[in-house]
Parts: sequence; structure tokens; C-alpha cells
Amino acid sequence: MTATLDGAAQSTEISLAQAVNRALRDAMTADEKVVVFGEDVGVLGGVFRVTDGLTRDFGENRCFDTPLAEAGIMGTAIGMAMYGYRPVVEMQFDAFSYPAFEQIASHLAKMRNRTRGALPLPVVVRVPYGGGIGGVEHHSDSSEGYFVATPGLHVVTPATVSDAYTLLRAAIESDDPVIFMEPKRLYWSKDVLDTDAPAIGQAAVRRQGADATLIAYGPTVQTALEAAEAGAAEGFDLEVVDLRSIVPFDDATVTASVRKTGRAVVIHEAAGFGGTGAEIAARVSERCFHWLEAPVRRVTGFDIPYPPPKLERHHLPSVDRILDAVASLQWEDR
Amino acid sequence: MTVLATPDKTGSGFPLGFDAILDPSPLQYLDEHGALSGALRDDAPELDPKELLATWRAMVIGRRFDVQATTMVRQGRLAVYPSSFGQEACEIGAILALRPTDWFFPTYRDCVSMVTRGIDPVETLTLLRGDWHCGYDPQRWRTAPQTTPLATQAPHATGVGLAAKLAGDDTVALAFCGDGGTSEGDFHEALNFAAVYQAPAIFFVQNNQYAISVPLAKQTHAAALAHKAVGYGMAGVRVDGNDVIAVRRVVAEAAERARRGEGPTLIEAVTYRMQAHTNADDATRYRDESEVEYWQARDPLARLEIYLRAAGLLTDDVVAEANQAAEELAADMRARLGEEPEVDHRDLFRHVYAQPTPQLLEQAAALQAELDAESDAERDAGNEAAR
Amino acid sequence: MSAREFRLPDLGEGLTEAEIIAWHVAVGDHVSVDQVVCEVETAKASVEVPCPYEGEVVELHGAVGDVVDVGKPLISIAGALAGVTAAAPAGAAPEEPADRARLDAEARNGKAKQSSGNVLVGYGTAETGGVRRRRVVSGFGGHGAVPRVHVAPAEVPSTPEPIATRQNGVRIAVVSPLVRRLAKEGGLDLASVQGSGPEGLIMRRDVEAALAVPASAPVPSSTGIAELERVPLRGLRKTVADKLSRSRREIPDATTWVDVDATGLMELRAALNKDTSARKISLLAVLARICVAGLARYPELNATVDVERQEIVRYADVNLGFAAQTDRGLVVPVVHGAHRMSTEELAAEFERLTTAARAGSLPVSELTGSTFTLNNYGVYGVDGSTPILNHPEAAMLGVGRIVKKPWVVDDELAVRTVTQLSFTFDHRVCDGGVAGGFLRYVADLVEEPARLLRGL
Repeated sequence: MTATLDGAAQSTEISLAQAVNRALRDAMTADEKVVVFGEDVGVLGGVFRVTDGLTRDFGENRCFDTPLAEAGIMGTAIGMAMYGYRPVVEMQFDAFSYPAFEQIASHLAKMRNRTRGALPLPVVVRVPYGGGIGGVEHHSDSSEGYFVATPGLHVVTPATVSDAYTLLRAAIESDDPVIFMEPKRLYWSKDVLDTDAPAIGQAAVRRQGADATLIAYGPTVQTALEAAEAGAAEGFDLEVVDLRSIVPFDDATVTASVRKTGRAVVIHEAAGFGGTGAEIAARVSERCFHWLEAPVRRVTGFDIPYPPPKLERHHLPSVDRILDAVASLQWEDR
Repeated sequence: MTVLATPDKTGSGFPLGFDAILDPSPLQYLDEHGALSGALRDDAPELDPKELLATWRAMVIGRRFDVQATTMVRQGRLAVYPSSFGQEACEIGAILALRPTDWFFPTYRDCVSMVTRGIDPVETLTLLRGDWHCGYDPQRWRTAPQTTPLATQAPHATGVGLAAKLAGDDTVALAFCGDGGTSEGDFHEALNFAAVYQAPAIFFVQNNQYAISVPLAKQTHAAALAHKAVGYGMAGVRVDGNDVIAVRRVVAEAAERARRGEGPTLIEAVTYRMQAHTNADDATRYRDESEVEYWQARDPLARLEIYLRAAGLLTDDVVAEANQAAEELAADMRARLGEEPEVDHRDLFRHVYAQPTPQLLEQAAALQAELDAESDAERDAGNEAAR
Repeated sequence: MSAREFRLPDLGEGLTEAEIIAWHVAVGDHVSVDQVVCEVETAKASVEVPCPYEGEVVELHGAVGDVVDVGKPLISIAGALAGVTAAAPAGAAPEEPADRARLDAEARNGKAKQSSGNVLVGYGTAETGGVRRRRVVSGFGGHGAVPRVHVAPAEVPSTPEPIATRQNGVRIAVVSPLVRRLAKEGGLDLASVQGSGPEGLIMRRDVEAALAVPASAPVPSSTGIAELERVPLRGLRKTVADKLSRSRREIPDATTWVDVDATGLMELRAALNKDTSARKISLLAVLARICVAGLARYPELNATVDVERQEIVRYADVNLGFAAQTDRGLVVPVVHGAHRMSTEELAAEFERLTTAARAGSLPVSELTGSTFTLNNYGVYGVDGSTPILNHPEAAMLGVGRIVKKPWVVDDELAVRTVTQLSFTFDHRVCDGGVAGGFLRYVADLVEEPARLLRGL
């Protein structure tokens, strides 16, 4: 991976949003074909300030604002990619990607396959997702399930400051279309940036444990770690796996972990029915059945449209709900 | 003439001095009787005899392709074929006005235009024979794949135009679209973007009066689809889509304008879909034979032939040569489309991503195991039968 | 020459049949390529059907009004091998030989060579004749079929490494949670079970076998010697085994023995039992009375070593334990306060305790608390032994069988009733002199029981 410009500031903490900004900067510096566009990303610098300063520093031909039209953004990005550019577009909030879904599912996902490799589309679609920010309707969805279920797309989601940088750099350099899901709840979390990280397609064990495996991605990784901390006091030694990339999925790491512990809980904000957790639970059950002490549990949002701010705390996976699930994993025979 | 004024170059972005009620009568140089209107200068490139004969020849071959493809559907050689019979002026005229370096975005009805572009006829039919989704190399031909969704290729054309502009190339992107496709949201967004960014794009709407069974009157309340250009602040023109000279002229002009940096153009070509939507359609259920006859009298090839014969350009030799080339094309189609295409089941997994995921490798192996078991079973059954 | 069949194609995205409305040709007519030969009506529309072959019409496979299924023959044409249309010049592409060959093959085999599943005629129909293929079973990540073929050479196979099921710290693979529970409920340690499934997977049959009573067939053990059976050390047997082991392990014991002439003792006993109305005095009771007398003289032997406090504890009372063999094993009932009892009282206690021991009704209080043990192993018909001290006691007297043996009396050979006395003691509580002295004293009393009167 190309080195960053700003090596001197490595020891200070930056926020996850700043890490994304830095990744965009470094990618645009490394490759003049990388262009950034979307609603309000130019002059304003993005509603989360993630694209702050890019237009000022790289010019309007490299980072520009678009009309308010997600399908148009997506279609234009596809056309530019056909011509040799590497567009990084933004869907301003998770649910705003729905108008672009036709272009994503019918073309972004299918073009390489359709043309037997002649037209790859190296496009990155940045999608701030997830709740817990007190947002009004339509600003807190977790839409990763639609993309995960569409073959031809890579779906990647960082949970740490370092991964926000490294996974985005990798996504931009990838010749496959990548849906880059940014957990907006974690935009302001801070850490020291470490640019040495595994590639797309590899999960990370964030915490070692022997009793049960918590499998999470994006915003719920933090919740899982908190649950592991609290769980220790209750006598549970919990391992936490951060998927980092949902597609491609790291079967090897997840399988090794659950075969070691014999118990698994999957945690995500999106609704449980038909959600990504169902796929993960099925894979774990297929690959780890002979090692399992208990069924694979999922701790997810309810099967409801995302609730209003005053009620969202009931909907989001919490530390207690996770530990309830852990406690249900048939410990009598231990 | 009803070419709308070009956008004001001083920057207001809005044409000056046009009528509130716009005359929708289409631009025309060659009428249905084969008579030239005289509105074009004599030295216009579109009137050059060699160019005209080449244009005519391409239309003869294009029509022969279309007829053969239609026939082959009824013989079970193609799964489906949406015919462009009667729309040859659009199919050929627009393409001949483009350079090979320009990008072209066809719909599923535009095989003839792709053949005119130079793509192998059988390759253009790969999608329609159920072999693979796209049979030709889009990068090589600068021709996007044909896809099922309508108007979604329009934003792609905008994107290519914008990219070319940023790269400093003089590439133009031309997208075909039908009258039905103009109702789709992607059509609107593509034109809006193109105008905002002044992208070098041409949006060529073949208004053949029907979207399957839905007539134009139910598709729009506008007097002309070309009037949408006003809404986006781009140049727009309505042209007689059965007049190949006019079609070539407006596309050439739009391309020149785009290359000069003067932005996109919306072209509405008025034509008629002579056949049903596809072989699976029964057009008699929604339109009258008299309407078809009306448009038969306005056939694009017939009028050009009248003109060329009158000009002494269409000799018997020329006709014989063109017919022979057309028949050779048809015979080649029959021969090659009668063969079973080579399909490789491993292609299912090869091109989903740059590199197959571990999960895809597992699935590919599983399918291979199934096929091995099948061939074992067939072989065993064959041995049994032989005994 | 052979005729080619033109079959009715699917004329509209999934149609299944069509009705013949009109024929445009008759048998014997010559048709050219793409010439319209008939008109059919489908569910969607009326369609004119052009023939793909050139040649002479041989057969029309239906009359006007007939309904033909998609894929069934419509018309047969006999044509030249390399037929060309009149319009095409020489050198044009010949008629499709591959096409004809395939159709011929189909007609011969009655099934399509390639089942593409497509509804297009010429692309194969799915008439496989009901042949089922074998089952292809694949596992996930190490258990089951390993993929044999990869998509392309450049791709890296990436099925995860199968986890060894028996490495230290790694969980053991069991075929299902149900079977795992079965093992757990049976008290089975999974590490001791040999899995017979793939890669050592423990199967239900393995668990069931491990839990079942072993069969009579010999099973090789780790020593390689065939085993007949295995009896678990449980309950009383285990308790005794533990105690004996501990005794040997902790106590530095020594044994000294002497042969004695017990003739006098036997005569005394016979005299005592002449009165048949009185309680019978057993030999054991007399020996016990003698031991008690000996312990009175040598009290250091009625003791135990408290290792923790590094003290020799000398007891005030003599609680006499005696070994009794029962069905359940070796039992040592205890006569508490034996030092206060007369010979008759001792006899009564022995009788009572023995009966109770055999009935299994002895309370714990009468099985514990002995300070000295009398071990009559002579009932087994042996002379000597090295008895194991009844931990934590310090001394045990053993008595062998009483038999006639040659003896020297008054410098002449005689036949006397002889027995061997062995005395085992904890050498920490005394030296050889005390032990020898005790045994000699007991021996003297056995030989001349009248001496007992001295201390009466």
C-alpha cells in the first residue's frame, strides 16, 4: 500500500471520520484517476466533514458536488469507471442509497460478469450507516443486507480508526465495486492510526476468549467488546471477532474461533429476519456443528423499520441483551 | 426549421428568444417521396454521393440482418429478437455520424446499429441467443453492453462524457433510448447531470411511437419529447427519424458542438416500429393495420432508393453487390447461429469478481462434482444400453 | 438421403404449444431456406413459421387444426448435403451439417445429448430419460469431499485447514450435540474415546460402545496383553485398597515370627469347653486374652504415630480389632475396651460382631477405633505371612494354622500341635527388644497358658 503523506502525525489520535478523509486524500494523491463526488461533498466537505478540504486541495475536477440524484450519481460513476476513472461516490445517508439501487444491482454488480471481465467497475460507494445517533426517520438504517445479497459487490465495513483508513485505501485500489459501509455512530471515536492491517476479506480477532465467540461488524464491534468486558465479571471469557469485510467473508477465522469455543453469538443492528446474521449463523452451523455446545444465537434489531430517537435504545443490540444471549448458550454441562 | 436555439454562451445557460409554444414539426431534408428539401447546402457531407451510397448499402445490410434475426427466432435459434425494421435511418444514420473513438450506448433493440459499427453480427446476438450476457468486447468497440433495464445506460453515457471532458479527450458519448425510456427516472437524472456538467453527450431518443403496447400519448403529455431539453437547459432538436440524411446531420452537428465544449444535446427522432415489440408480442391487439400502412409509405430505405435512382447513383451493379453482401451476411448468420454455442460452466464463477472469493471456489468445485456425477451416470446408462 | 425434422420452436418466451392454422406448402413441394411453410396460432399471437432447411417437403406432421407441442416435429425436409439457396452464390456457407448430425443423434438416442434445460429447439431439451446421478456429498472446511477441480490454475484453493480434533487445548469434534450430551451423561471422557468418523470424528456408535458393558471377547490393552475383564475399584473394595496402600506407604513396619507348641493351649481350651451349657470359648478369644495381657506388659505397642505432631500416641484402652472375612470382603470389627473383658466376654463379643459383620449390619462405631488387631489367617491353611498393619495402628499379631508337626520334647522327637505366630509392628514406636519381648511373652502363654494365672 502506498505510504501516507503525513507520516509525522502517526502518534497522535485521530477520529474515524478523519481517517476516512486521510485515506481519500492519500488515494487521490497516489492516483489521479481517483475522483470523489456526491451531494455536499465538495464545498461543504460533507455533512460529516469526511470530505473536508478535498475540493480546496485537489480542485473541482477531482472532488465535486452533484445534483440531488442518487441514481444519477451512481450511473455517472459507472460511466466514468468505464472510461478508466476510479470514482469514490457518497450516498449521504444509508437509506438514501435506495434510489441508486437499480444502478447498483443491475450494473455495478453485474458489469464485469456481463462482459466476461472486459468492463470492470472499480467504484467505491461510501455509505454512512447504522443508528444510535438520535437521527430522525431514514437516517439510521442498516442497509448492508441488500448489498451482501447481491453477487458481484464487495461489502466492507470498518469498526476501528485504522481499518477506516486501510480498508478504504484497499477498496479504492480494488478493481471490484466496493460498498464501503461507514458506521456513523463511530465517526468520532478516536485512536492512533496504524496503516498496517490485513487485506479485504480477512476478519480480525479483537479479543481472545475461550467460552464463546461474539461475531460482529461495524458499529456492533464496540458493543461486543463492551459486552466481553462486562461478561468477564459474570464469569464468561468471550472472544470477539470483527468481520471487517462481509463479502468476501472470512470463513476460516470465524470457523477456527467457534470450533475453539463451541458457542457463537452474531450481533448486528439490522433487522434479524433475513439479515446478514442469518447467513453467518447458517455458515457457522454448517462448518462447526461437530464442535457446537449450543445453537448459534443472533442479537439484532427487531423486525421493524428503524424506530424514532426516543425508542431506539430498545431496538439496538445492547451489552445486556448480548450477555442474555451468551447466558442462554447451555452452560449446565460445562 | 425548428432547431431550438443553443444555450447562451455568455453563461445564463438558457436559450434566448424562443417561443413559449414550440413548433414540434420534425426537421427533415428528404421527404417520403424521395425529394430533397433543399435546406441543406449542396456541399454538405451528408449529400456526398459516396457517403450516400455507403449509407444506403449499410441500410440494406442492416435490414437483411434484422429480417434474418426475426426469422431465426421463429425457428428457435434465438430466444427473442426485438426488431428495428423500419428504423434503419436512426440505426445507421446516427452511427455513421460518430467516430470509432466515440462511445455508444445501445438499447436491446439496436443490434443493427452495432452491426453498422462493425461488430460481428453473431456477437451482437449473443445475449439474445441465451449464450452469455454480452458477446462483444465493449472496450474494443467502445460500445456498452445491451441490458434489459430501460434508460439506465443514459447516466453511464453522462459519466463517460464527463470523464472524457476531465481527461481532455474529444470523445463524445451517444446513448440511444426509446420513447418509453424517457419516462424513467434515470433518463431525467442523466440529462440533468449532463447539462449541469456540460458533458459531451448526445441523448438520441428513437420515438417509434410505442412502448410494447403503450402509445406515445399515454407516455407523455408533452407536445414533443425534444421539449424536455428546455427543462435541462440543453440544446434539443426534433428530427424525422426516417430521413437518414437529417439524422446524420443532426448527430454530426451535436457531436461537433459537444467536442467544442458546448455541452450535451437531446435529439428526438420520430419513426415507427414496423413490427411487434418482439416475437412474443401480438401488435394487432393494440394498433390498427391502417397505421402500419401509413408508416409503410414513409419507409426510410424506400425514399432513399427513389432519390438515389433519380440521381443515377443506384445502378444494377451497385444493387447486386449490396444484395450479395446482404445475403452472405444472412447465410453466415444461419450457419453460425445454427451451431450450438460453446458454453463453459466455469464461466459462472470466473467473472463475478477480479478474483473468485473462497466461497465461489467452493461452489465451483461443488458444481464440478455434480457434473462429474452426471457424466458418470450418463456413461453408465450408455454402457447399459449398449449391452 | 435422410430427411431433417424441423421441430416447433417456443415462439414466445415460455409457450408450450401452437395450433396449425394453415399450411403454405404441400408434400413434394420444394422449399428454400427461410421460406414460410405454415402459420400457427399461439397463446400470444399468430406466427408465420419459416423453414430453416432447403429441399423437398417429405412430411407434414399435423393437419390444419391440430395442436403441436413445442419441441415436436412440424415438418420434414429432404435436402442435399451441401444445399445452398438459389440466391446465395457459390462459396456461401453450406447447410448446417452439425445441426443435422445432432438431430439425427437425438432421433437415434431418443434423448438430447446436452440437456441445457433451454426451451429453444436446437439448444437441447431436458429429456434425460430419468437417469439419476449419484449423490455428491460435500462437507465444510475439512470434513467431507475435498474439491477436486479448481476454476483456473491461477486461483489459490482456500478451504480452511481442518482443525486437528485432538490437539491440546482444542475442543474435540463430536458428530452432534445430542451425542455429545449422551457422552456427558454417561460420565464418558471424550478424550478417551476413539472416534471412528472422518478425521477422528466421534460418532454415536463410538460413544454407545464406550458406555456399554464390554463384550466377552478379549480386548487388547495398552500392555498388549489380552484382558478378560476390568473390575472397577469402587466402594468397600476401594476403601480397603486405599487403606492397605497407605499402611505400606507410611509405616516402616517389621515382622518377627516364632513357631510355638500350642498343645497346651488346645488342651486348656478343651477343658474350658467341657461344660456344654456354658458359652463356647473360641481359640480366637483365648488368643485375644493373651494379647491383651501382652499389651498390658508392653503398653508401647498399643499406640500410633501422629506424624503431623511428631508424637507417639499411647492409648489408654485396648480396642481389639480382628479380621473377619465376609462376602463383601475383609472387614475388621472392633471390640472396644477389650482390656476390661474376661475371656468369656471376649468370646461373646467376637461371636456377636462376627455374626453382624456377615450380615452387613455392623455400625461404623464397631468398625473403627481399633488400637491393635488380631489376624487369624490360619483359617486359610497357611503358616506364615507378613500382615499389613491396620493403619494407623502400630502392631498386629498374626496366627497361622494349627497342625501337628514333629517337635522336640525332652530331647526326643514327638508329635505336637504347632502354630506359627507372626508379629508385625511399627518400628517407630519401639525397638526390636520390645517387639521380641511381646512375641515371646505371647508365645510363652500359648505354650503354658497356666502362666496367665500369675497376673490374674
